[in-house]
Amino acid sequence: MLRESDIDLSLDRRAEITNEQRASVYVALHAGRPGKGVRVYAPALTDTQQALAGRFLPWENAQSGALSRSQNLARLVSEELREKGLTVANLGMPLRPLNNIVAPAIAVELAPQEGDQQSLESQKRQNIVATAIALGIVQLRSQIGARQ
Amino acid sequence: MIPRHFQITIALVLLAILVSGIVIIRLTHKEEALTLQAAEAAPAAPILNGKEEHIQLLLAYDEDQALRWRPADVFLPADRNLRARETLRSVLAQYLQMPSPHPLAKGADIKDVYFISDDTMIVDTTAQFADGHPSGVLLEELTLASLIETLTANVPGIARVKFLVDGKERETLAGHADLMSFYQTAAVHELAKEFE
Repeated sequence: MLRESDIDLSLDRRAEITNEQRASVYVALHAGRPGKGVRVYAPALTDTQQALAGRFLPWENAQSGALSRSQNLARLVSEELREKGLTVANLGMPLRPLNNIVAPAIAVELAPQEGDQQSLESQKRQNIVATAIALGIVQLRSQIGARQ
Repeated sequence: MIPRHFQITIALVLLAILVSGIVIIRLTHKEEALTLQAAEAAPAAPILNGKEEHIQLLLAYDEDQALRWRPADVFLPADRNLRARETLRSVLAQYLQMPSPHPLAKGADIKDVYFISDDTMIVDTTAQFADGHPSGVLLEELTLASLIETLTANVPGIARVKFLVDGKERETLAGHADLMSFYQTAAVHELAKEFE
C-alpha cells in the first residue's frame, strides 16, 4: 500500500517508492464515471524514446521492460472479472505513474452501476473486484514462475 | 426703436436655434457611440488567408464511452499553426455547448499552438481546460484522443504532440492522463480505434 489515508503523494513519488521497494506488481485503483462495469488499463508508451546505455532507463519509459507482463496482467484480471459476471473493458492507456514503474503495472477503474454513485461503495462489489485482481496476480506469478 | 414684441420674437428664435443646435450635437454624438458599439460587438471579419471548410471532428461521447466522427463547417486559416489552433478550438466548442456530449469547464480553450520541429507540435491550453476538467482515466483520455485525432486528420504531417497548461508543463490532465510525455499520433490513432 502506498497510502493508508487520503494524503497527497505526487505521482512521481508513487513511482519512486514502488521502484525503490522493488515491488512485484503495481495496481492503481480508481472509481468514477462514465459508463458501466470495470475498466482495466495496461500502460501504453506514447514516446518511443530509446533507452539510455547502461543501467539507466528514461523516466517516461521506465515501464518499457515490463510492458508485455503488464498487458498480460491486465488481460488476466479482465478475464477474472468477466468470469465473475462484470462488464469489462481492457484498454491500453498512457497513464501516470504506470509508465514510470519498472514492474508490471495496471490501473483498474470501477464505474457506477447504471449511474448509481452509491454502487461504488458496495462492499460486495469491491470484494469481487479485489478477488479478481488477486487471482489475476496469482496467475501472472505462476506463469512467470513456470517460465523460470 | 425696435418694438418690444419684435425683440421678444428675435430672442425666442435665437433661443430655439441654440436649443436645436445642442440637440443636434447630442444626437450626432449618440449616433456615433451606437455605431462604434455595434462595430465592436459585430464579429470581426477574418483578416487571414483561409476559407470555410467542411471537416470531420472526432468527438467524445461520455455516456457511450465512445469516440465518433462528426462533420463541421469551420473557417480554417491557411497558416499551419493557425489552422491547427482553429481545428482544436472547433472540438472544444462542441464540448462547451449545452447539452454537451463531453462537458468541459467554461474557459477551456487553446491559447496557442506551435511547431518545435516539422512534425512535433506543442499545444498550449488555458488553465481552465485542465483545472476544470472532470477527473477520471477514461474522461481524460477521451479528451486527449479526441483532440489529437481531430488535429492529425485535418493538419497533415504531425507525428508528436505535447500539451502545456497555461504555458507550463503539468503532470496530468486531471490526475490521470499523462501530460508530461509527447504523444505519438500513430499510437493515439490505434487507441482511438478502440473507442470508435
